[in-house]
This record gives sequence, structure tokens and C-alpha cells, in this order.
Amino acid sequence: MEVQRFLRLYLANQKRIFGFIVSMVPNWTDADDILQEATEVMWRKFSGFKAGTNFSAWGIMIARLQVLRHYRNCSSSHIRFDSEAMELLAADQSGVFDQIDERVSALEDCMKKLTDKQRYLIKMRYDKAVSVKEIAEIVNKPSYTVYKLLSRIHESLMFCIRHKLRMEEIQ
Amino acid sequence: MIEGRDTFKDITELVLACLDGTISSDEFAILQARIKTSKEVRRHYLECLALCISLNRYEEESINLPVIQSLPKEEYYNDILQALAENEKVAVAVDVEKTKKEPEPYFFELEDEVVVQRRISRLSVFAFMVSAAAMLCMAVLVWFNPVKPVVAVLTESRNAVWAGSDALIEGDDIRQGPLALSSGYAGITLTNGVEIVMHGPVTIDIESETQVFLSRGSIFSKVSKGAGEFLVRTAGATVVDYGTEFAVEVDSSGSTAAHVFVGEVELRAGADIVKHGPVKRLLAKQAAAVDVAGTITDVKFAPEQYVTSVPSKYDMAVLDSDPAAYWRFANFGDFPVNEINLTTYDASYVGNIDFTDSSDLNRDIHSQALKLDGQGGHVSVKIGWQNANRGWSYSMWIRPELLADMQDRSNHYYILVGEGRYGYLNVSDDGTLEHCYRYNDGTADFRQVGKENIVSGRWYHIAMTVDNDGTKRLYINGTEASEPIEKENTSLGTGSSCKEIIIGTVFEESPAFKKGPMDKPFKGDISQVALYGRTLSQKEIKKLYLSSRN
Repeated sequence: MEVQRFLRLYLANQKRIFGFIVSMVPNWTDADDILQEATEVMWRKFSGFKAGTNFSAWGIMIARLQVLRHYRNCSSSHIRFDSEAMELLAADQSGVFDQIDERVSALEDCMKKLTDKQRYLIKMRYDKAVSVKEIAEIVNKPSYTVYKLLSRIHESLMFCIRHKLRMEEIQ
Repeated sequence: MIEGRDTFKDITELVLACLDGTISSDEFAILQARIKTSKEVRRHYLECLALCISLNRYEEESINLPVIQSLPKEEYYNDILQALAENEKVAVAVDVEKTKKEPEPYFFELEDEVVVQRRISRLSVFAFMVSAAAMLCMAVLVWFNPVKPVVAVLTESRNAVWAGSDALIEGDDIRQGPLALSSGYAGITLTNGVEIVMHGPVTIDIESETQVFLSRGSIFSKVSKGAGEFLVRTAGATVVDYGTEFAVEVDSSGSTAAHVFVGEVELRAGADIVKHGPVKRLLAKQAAAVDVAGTITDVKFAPEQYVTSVPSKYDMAVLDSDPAAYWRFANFGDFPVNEINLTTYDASYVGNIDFTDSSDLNRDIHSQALKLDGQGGHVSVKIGWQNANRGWSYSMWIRPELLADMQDRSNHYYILVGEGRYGYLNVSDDGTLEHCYRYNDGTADFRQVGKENIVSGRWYHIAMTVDNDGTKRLYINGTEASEPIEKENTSLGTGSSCKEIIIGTVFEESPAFKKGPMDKPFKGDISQVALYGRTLSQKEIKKLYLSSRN
């Protein structure tokens, strides 16, 4: 019963918590590890979570400790925000990760506006997990050309999502 | 990645490279600098991450894309190439240095067996031997000093200064071995669930998840049912727990004292778990001490001497503002209000008193509160500042229970604090917080009404300051909430006199004072009462209030 309750709350808030982690440690591998550790701590301390309070805020508080711990353990990593940047990013999260479900929903429509080729590239990169380096090797082009193209596609999607969310707000 | 990228420092590209782990130190420095200087960049950075998360992790569940596997591989790559080519049409021209052609590899075969004599320098041999010796030493060290197991986690800390080790932060694992807290507060949780609260200076040695050696200071242990056996050893005694909450202290003379808050413990003379001296069972609200000679004597149970929880941020803000007294109302049953050693003035419970959970107040505030039922139960604090001609202040959290609909059309006044001789602070059924003076001859009954109404069932931070001349100021949630309140106007003493503060009702009626017909004792919850022997500034009150926010 307790497991079900935890899972229900966790799954409903996982994206937000992961968003917070990845904004502090912008690296897929590290962020995944931190989420896993944070989830273990959340489950361990779940008996102390008060029903009816904000699970997402509680989870992010635990995730924040895990991020600090990660930074402490990986002091040599060059992907490392200082405390000022972390505080600024933490303060500006509102309206981004707490709207992640709306963003995913908007993304579905925005993907349709891409050309087939752009969609294939996105699919290759994310769904098939082909690295940029591998794509670059396959097509015999420099990595930065692939990054530039991906970047342009991301920009288009971000613009589209932003526009859709704004339209929904107006409506 | 990424030659030439510093010519187009685009945030999106930097984010993509960062996520892939291909970003360079210089590029990350650029990203961080731009994040710190521009809110728009931060927003863009976060939105880009949100998009990548949506694409990377949740694509399957929400986005139906054409099935890529159905495409022939060649066609698929051709599409990518076309997409790249289209991009390059509009891309900025980049000069690329011509790559030198790699020389053709040269193969040869050995026709006959050839004996090759290799010269090995003495330096290489020496370096190898030194390296081997160093590795052997390390192996021996590891063998004889294996990494100690993790036995606890630092769950809370406040202003903690650790001696002889790196600074620990909340969430850090703690390994078996010594742990010295020079100052501040820390809460650790052993892997078996036992919670220990430390207030520096204190030195312990965590011998295992079920056993702690206390060599200096005091610790408070909370052992939940099911945690199994737990014991605290000192140089002269052993305290064996039987599912309880208790404090153990080693004083400068080497004596060990055990105070039981809940449950039952066994206090044994001697540090040896098996061979020990006399034994005494202690129940809740009992205490005993073992001296260096091994003699056990009963001592007075004194819960106020021990820190039973790590102070919250709000607690620390109060302590930093140097209060004369601070009461958090931990529920020790019929034991004193002064549960923590922060009081210059003793307070006592009068009448029917209960306690309630106040964890909904804020996670950074102590989780218990005083529950007053409106029947007259209150807390009396004798402060004796009569004719002192000095400023003073108090602050507290309140959650009133008011009549929502006032069916009988009567507006009752629930007295929150009786102060001085004639003044009192009350909250009425309509949510008005007001200050009132009332004399029995009817000559003065002037009320100073707060500007904002308060709502039943909600927590409010209340503060009252009194200037040297007796002028009072009322604050709600860190903001001054009324015009300055007139001072007492009486010949009986100076304007700032205050002999007694009564929390929850008003002082006894006297020849000089008579409470109003609709005045009633306070009904609701009160927590974190702090008393100051000076006038707090508006800035200090704001700081107190904000310390409770996250």
C-alpha cells in the first residue's frame, strides 16, 4: 500500500524532479545516477513525508542534497556550476519544469511541424540514442555540423512550444 | 566536439554538448558565465533542458513518430545527409584546414626468426621497482586498514563545525569510527533507524549501527520500536535501550548521566558490555548517574538540559537575535515549559494544557505547538520588569480557532497575551487582531486595531515591541500591522513596566483592571514564543519571519 502510494506520487512528479537535477548537473549520465540515488533516499524517508503536502518540493529538496553530494564526490569534473549559478537556476525553475506535462503535450504537435528529415534526425538522436559523434561518423561530417543542425531543430521546437503554451494561456 | 564552436557560442549547442558530456571546460565556463549574467539565458537554458527531457525520456509515451525501422538503412542515412546538406546551404562558411593525407600503412613479413635484443635502462628498472614497492605498501595498508562500513547518514545539521574531518553536509554517509562536533547541532540516523541528536561540543565513536561510545558531551537518542538493540557506552557506564528516547551525558568529572524521556533503559556501571557493575532500570521521566567509582545514584530528571531535536532555521534566527527566553513547547507531559536550555525566565503551565502537531506550520519550524482549548489554560511567565523603564518585545506563531459565522451575532475577543498591568492582545471572531487597555473605572478602554484581519485555522507570525517610553508596535508576518499603540497612561508605574506575561489569557482582575464582558481565553495553537529584554527593530522582526520561509 505504502509502495503504491509512493510510486503514484513519484511517477507524477518524476519529470519535475529530474528537471531540477539535470538543470543543476547538465549531463545525462550523472543526472540519471543522481535521480536514482535521490529516489532511494525518497523511498527511505517516505514515512516522514506528510500526506497532502507538496511531494515535488519534498523530492526536489532531497534531490538538491544529492546534487551537492555529487558535486562533492566529483570535485574534479569540469561540468560544475558554482553556488551562485545554482541559486539563480533554482530560483528560475518556475514555469518550466512545473509545466513539463504541458510541454510534452505541446511537443507532440510541434514535432508534426518538422520536416520528415528533421524528425528522423531527432528520432535517431533521442529514440535510437545514436550519439552526435556517431552520426557525424556515419555521415562523414564534422560533429559541429551535426550539432548545429540539431541546435536549429531544437530552437524551432522551443519556439513552437513557447508559442503554444502562450496561446493556451490566452485561451 | 568541437573545433571552431567558440565562434558561435550558441546556448542550445552548448546545452546539447553538455548533456552529451562533450563540452570542454572553456565552453562550460562560457555557458555558466552567460547563465549568471542573463535571466533570458537562464530561461532559454531551462527550456532547452525541458525539451531535451521531453524528447529523451518521455518520447515513447507521448509522441507517435513514423516507425523508423521500416526504412532501408541506406535511405535513412541519405535523408540525414540531405538534411545536413540543406543546413549547410544556409550555414556560415567556415574555413577548414586541408587534412594531410594519411600515409599508406606499410606491411612486411619476417622471413626468419630474428632475435631482438632490447636495451632496458636502469632508470626504467628503478622506476618499476619503486612503483611495485609503493603498490605493495598500498595493498598492505588496505589490508590492515580496510575502508570502514557506512553506519549512518547525516540527516540534519545547523551551524555544525566538525573537528578532525572534512565538513559534513546533510545527506553525507558516515562511516564507522570517531565523530567530533566542535559546535553547532547535528542529527544523524544510524542504518538501523536510530536517530541521534548532537549538540557540540560532543565526541562519539560509532562502533556499529547498534552501539555508540560517548566520550564527551551529551547526545539524545530516539530508538524506534523494531530498531533492535541499541546501547550507548561511556568510559564508566553502559546504557542499554529498550525502545525509547533518552539522553546520555558525560560530565567533566567523568560521571555518566542517563535521562529517560520515553520508554525504559538499563543503566549499568562499567563500559564492558558483558562484565559490568551495578545495574539500574530507569523508566520515563527518571534519571540516574554513574560516578567514576561505579556508584549509581538517582538524579532529577531534567529534560530542559538536553537538545532533543536539531534547531530549525527559525530557531537559529531566534537564537541569533539573543532572546531572554524561548519556548518551543515540546511535549514532555507535565514537565516544564522550558524544554530547552534557552531561558532566563521560567515559565509554567497553568490549567488545562495540550499539545498538537504543528508540522504544517513550516518544515523549518519545530513540529509541536501548545494547544489551548479556550477554557483558561495558559502559560505564565514572571519577568518582573516593573518600573524597569526598558524596552522589551515578544514574538510567537499563532493559529486561532474563531467562530466562523458568529450565529449569536456576538463578537468574542480571545485574549492572546496579557502584558503589563492593563494591556492585552486579542483576536476577535471577525479576525481582527487588536491591542486593548481596560481599567475597571472605565476611564480607558482604547483599542488599537490591526490593519489586516487574520483567518481562523491559519498560522501567523505575531510580534509586539515596546519602546523605552512604553509605545507598542504590533507586527503580523513581519510587517507592522497597526499605528503605534499608545503607552499605558497610569500613575502606577512607568509606561514600559511589565511584571508578568500571560500567554493564552489575561491577568487576574484587580482593583485597577477588569476584563471586558466578551473577553475569553484564547482558543487555538501557539508555538515558538520568544521573549526579549529589548525593543526588536522592524528589520529584526522581518528577518525572524523570513527565516521561516524557504
